[in-house]
Order: sequence, then structure tokens, then C-alpha cells
Amino acid sequence: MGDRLSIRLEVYLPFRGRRMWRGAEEVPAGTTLAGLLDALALPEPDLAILLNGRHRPPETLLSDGDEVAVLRQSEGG
Amino acid sequence: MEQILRLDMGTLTHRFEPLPEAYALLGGRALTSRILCDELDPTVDALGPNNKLVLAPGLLSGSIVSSSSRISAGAKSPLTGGIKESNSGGNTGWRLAQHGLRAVIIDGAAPVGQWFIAVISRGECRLEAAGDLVGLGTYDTATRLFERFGAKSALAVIGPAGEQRMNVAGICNTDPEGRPSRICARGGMGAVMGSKGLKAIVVRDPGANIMPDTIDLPMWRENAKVYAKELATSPAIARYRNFGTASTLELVNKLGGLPIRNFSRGQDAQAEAITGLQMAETIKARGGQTSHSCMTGCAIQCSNVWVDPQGKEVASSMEFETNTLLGANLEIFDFDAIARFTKECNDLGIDTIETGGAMGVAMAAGALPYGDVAAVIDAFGQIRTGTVLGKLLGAGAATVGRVLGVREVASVKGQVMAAYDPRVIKGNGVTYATSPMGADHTAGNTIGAKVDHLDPQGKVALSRELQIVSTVLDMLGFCVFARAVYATTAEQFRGLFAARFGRSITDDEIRAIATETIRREIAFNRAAGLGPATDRIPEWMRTTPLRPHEAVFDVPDEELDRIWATD
Repeated sequence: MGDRLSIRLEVYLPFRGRRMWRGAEEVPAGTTLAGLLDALALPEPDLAILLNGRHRPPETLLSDGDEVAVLRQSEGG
Repeated sequence: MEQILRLDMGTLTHRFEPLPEAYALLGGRALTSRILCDELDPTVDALGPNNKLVLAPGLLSGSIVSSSSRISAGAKSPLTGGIKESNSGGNTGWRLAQHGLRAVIIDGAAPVGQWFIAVISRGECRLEAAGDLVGLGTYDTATRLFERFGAKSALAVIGPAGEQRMNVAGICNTDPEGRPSRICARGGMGAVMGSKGLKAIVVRDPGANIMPDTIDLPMWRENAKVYAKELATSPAIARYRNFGTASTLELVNKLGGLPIRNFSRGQDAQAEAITGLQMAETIKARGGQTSHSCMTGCAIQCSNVWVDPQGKEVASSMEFETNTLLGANLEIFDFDAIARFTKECNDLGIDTIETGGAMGVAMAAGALPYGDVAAVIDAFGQIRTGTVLGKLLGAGAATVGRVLGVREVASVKGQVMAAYDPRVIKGNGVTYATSPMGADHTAGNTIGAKVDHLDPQGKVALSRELQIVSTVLDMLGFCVFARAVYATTAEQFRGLFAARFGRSITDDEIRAIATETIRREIAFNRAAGLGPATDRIPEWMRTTPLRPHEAVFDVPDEELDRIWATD
């Protein structure tokens, strides 16, 4: 494993000047889900972050080829 | 002194009774279910004169404290065959509580073909003939009743589906602007109201901004202020104000649990067209309302008003479950179409979830084409006029499956699931299976928990906790979204209670009432003939994997059976 990981990132809220953002992302090896969220510095609190379509603990280490999706937490009534 | 109003539609009489001491701490669902358990033979015909329809605002309803005046409608359900509570916003609960009414109990049945309205104000009630309203949709009905009784009245009305006693029929409550769009939708409560010959209930404006008798008004205001501040600063609440419930679609689609094509797939890129973000952007661009209060005083404002490209109102409100069951589930990824469907449902007075589920099953059988907007609009017309297909759809998804030979019906106790496939959102699967309400997500929605929804571990405990908290909120009259601040303002909820009733109550006592309510409801269901075998997710969902996770529902039956075994 190299020093960098390539992941796919999907941000379902305004990010990097777009209404939503999708694309490849390189992150340092050893990055956790929580670390990635901190690095993204998104303006909204209390977001859902999914790793390959599932909630995972914040301390989960990312792997090459992972897909991370950041979404607004919401529910119907 | 709070009262109960009894209406006997068989004799066309009424009486006001003092609230029994045994019901002093009960409101909303806790009261509707308690009255049904105390007064109803569980084996009665749900559409016969011996069933009772109970309407009850919450314990703390009747003021303009945000989101506190929801209404519960309870009866034996013609859809599930068990006890049912169906909960709604709108102003009916607020007005009933202002008139000092803890509940309205409707018994008996008018002679077939005779229709009435009930007009209620403090200490007064009268029944009036309603022949001129028969066959009208809920919007025309509301327009006529507001002309007669004033625009500040609150209405609970049924539409053509309720008149035809369809299982999908709900009771439509008017919002602050008078739209009959806030529906006690689930379980066929509108059919029960129709079976009694009651077209509408008019709850008149008391003439001043009064609130129910309250022992300590300064204490009430002080606690209400803290609660309101917490709501105003909650990020979760801000999200509902901007995107409504519709942004749940992005999350559930990404999780792979979105019902698509009659629950046959859990994810679809086409769903991008009906996300909360897309909805908010379109509404703003067209000049509609992305935030709107469904009841007077609500600060959460998760409701919205969808308008057409010319800015003309089409429907209120576009909700996640509706967008899914009448959209993705039918392979219709078009907000303008879903808005038309929503307006049809509101005017017919029917449950968008059960109707979307029924149409999805009909599409699986080939009786309707997937993705065909015109065919769906035509089907609504058939429900309105009562053709054979219309009546079949009006009977609900489970009946459609039985008649048309479709095994893949996503229902529990005859009630279709909402927009969370239990093969992925397993906590909701536990709620669907174990709630005495049938497959009703509002009984305990687990989607907000940041847990691995695909892992069956821990989902029984999660569902149990949320079922109890949801029952607490239903009992108090608060919207389920107030749960976002319930934990941080528990002291204020207790304070509001103490201010209103002059007595203290602990969290444990409130939870005990909620748990006891659920246990009574289960006992009712057992006596009605709904045994433990009905507390199950359909077998096909345990064996047919759902793409993309190839997941099945795999919470063990033994765990489901133990959910209410301990305190």
C-alpha cells in the first residue's frame, strides 16, 4: 500500500462551489472516516457519512477504492 | 374541566362527559387505544356500527407551542383487522383541545345513505344533514364548510374514498390555510368515519386565542420558551425547514433501501430527479414554499407547497414517503407527476403510502404499466368513481396481491411498508413486524440512528426504544420531529406537564404509560385474532435478496418475539 489512497467521494450538499460534488479523491493512507470528515470541513453539522453504502464507526480506516458518501441526516414523518 | 364528547350516529345524539380520572394522564394514542381497549369488543366488524372512532389531541395540545397539537385517530382498522392509531398535523387537535375536549368518541352508524356533519364548540355539538357534500372531494367539501362556519374553523373530513369505505381512506385535517392535506392516513380511519355516515367534523374557532385550562401559566411560558429556543437552534430542525422530509431520499437511496419497482430494487440513479435538494431548488425557482407550518405555531415547518412552472399551487406537501411510494416504487421519477398524485390523494382522502403500494403491486401484476403517469392519473379517477379496479386499489396492497396473484407484497398485518425496505433498514423491519400498528414507520423509525442498518444485531433494542419514544410523543401530542430536541429538553416537557396539570411526572412514568399502551394494543390484536404469526416480515423478504447489497431480512423471529417481554 502506498502513502496515498484513491477513494470515490460523494458529497450531497454544496461543496467546492457546486450544489453537490462527486469525484475521485486522494487521501493519505491511515485516514479514518472521522479524519476525512474533518478534512472536508463541511459547513453543516450532524451529517451522515456512509462507507460503501453503510454507516461505519468513525475510527474505521479507509481502503483504496472505497466509496464515501456524505449526506444530510433526515427522516420522514 | 376537560371532557369527552360522545357522538352516537345511530341515534343522532351526543353527550359531554367529564374526563374519567383513569384517563387523566392519557392523551393522543395512549387515550385512543385505552378507550378502544376498554370499550370495544376486539372481534367487532371494523366497518360495522359497533366499531368506535376516537379522535384525541395530545395531553399538551391546544396552545401555540410548536408542533404540540397533533391529532390521533383510533379505531379497529379495516385494513389490519387490529387496533390502529393514525396521527396527523393540521389544526383539528389544536381546536379540540382549545374547547376542552380530550377526546371525541364516535359510535353507531347512521342509516345507509344518510350523511351528516358534526359541528363542535365548547360545550356544544350538533349534527347537521350533509347530503349536499356527498361525493365531493375534500377540497370542495372544505371550501363549502369554511363558507358556512368561518375560515378559522378546523375541519376533519373524508373524501370519496371514505364514503366508499375503502381501506386506503384517511381523515383529512385542514392546515392553517385551510387545505385538507394533513391526513390521519394509515389504516383506513376514513373508512371507519364513512361507515358511520359522518362526512366531516367542524371544530369552530373559540373566538379568542385561548388555551386549555392550565394551572401555572408563567411556568408554562417559561418552559415553552426554552423548548422553542432549542428548536430554533437545532441543526436537525433547520434541515427540515430547508428541505422537508424529502432529503431522506438521498440517504435511503444511498443506503440501498429505497423501494423501487414494487420493492424489487433498493437503489436507482434515476432517483436523483426526486431528491430533497432537487425539490427545494425547483420550489424556490418557481416561487413555491420550501417551508410551511402544517399546524398553527409550528416552528419546524417541514411542510412545503409545490407549484407548477407558472407558479400555481399544485399540492402540499411533498413528503419523502409519498415521493417514494408514488414515485420510485412506480418507476416515476418526476416531481410534477408526483405532485399531481399527491393532490389527487389529498382530494380523494387517501393514504399516499398504501395507495402507492397498491399501485406498485398492480404494476407487478401487469394490471397497470410501470412508469406511466397517465395510467396512474386514470387509476385515481377509477378510485374516485368506484370502478372494480378503483375499488381493488382502494382495498390496499395486500388485497391487490391476493386478487392479482402477486406474492411480492411488502406488507405486515395487511398494511404496506413505507419507504424503507426492511432488508436494508432492518430496525424499521423490526418496527414493521412488532408494532401493533402494522407496517407503520411512524411507530418507530430507526433511519435516524447512525448505525449499520444492514447488520441485524441490536435492531430489536433500537426499534423498541424508538417505538416507546414515538408513543410518548404521540401521547403528548408532539410531532415526531420534536424528538430531535426531546432528550435535551426533557426537563421542559416535564415542566409543561406540571404547568398544565399541577402535578409532576417523571420520565419513567411517561415511558411506563407508553409501554403499557403498546402492550394493551398487542392484547387487543391477539383478542381480535392477530396472533404472533402476524408479527412477521413477509417470507419473500427473508429469501429474495435486494440489490445492490443482496440483503435479506434476517433478524431472528425469536428476537422479534422477545421485544416486549421485559420492562
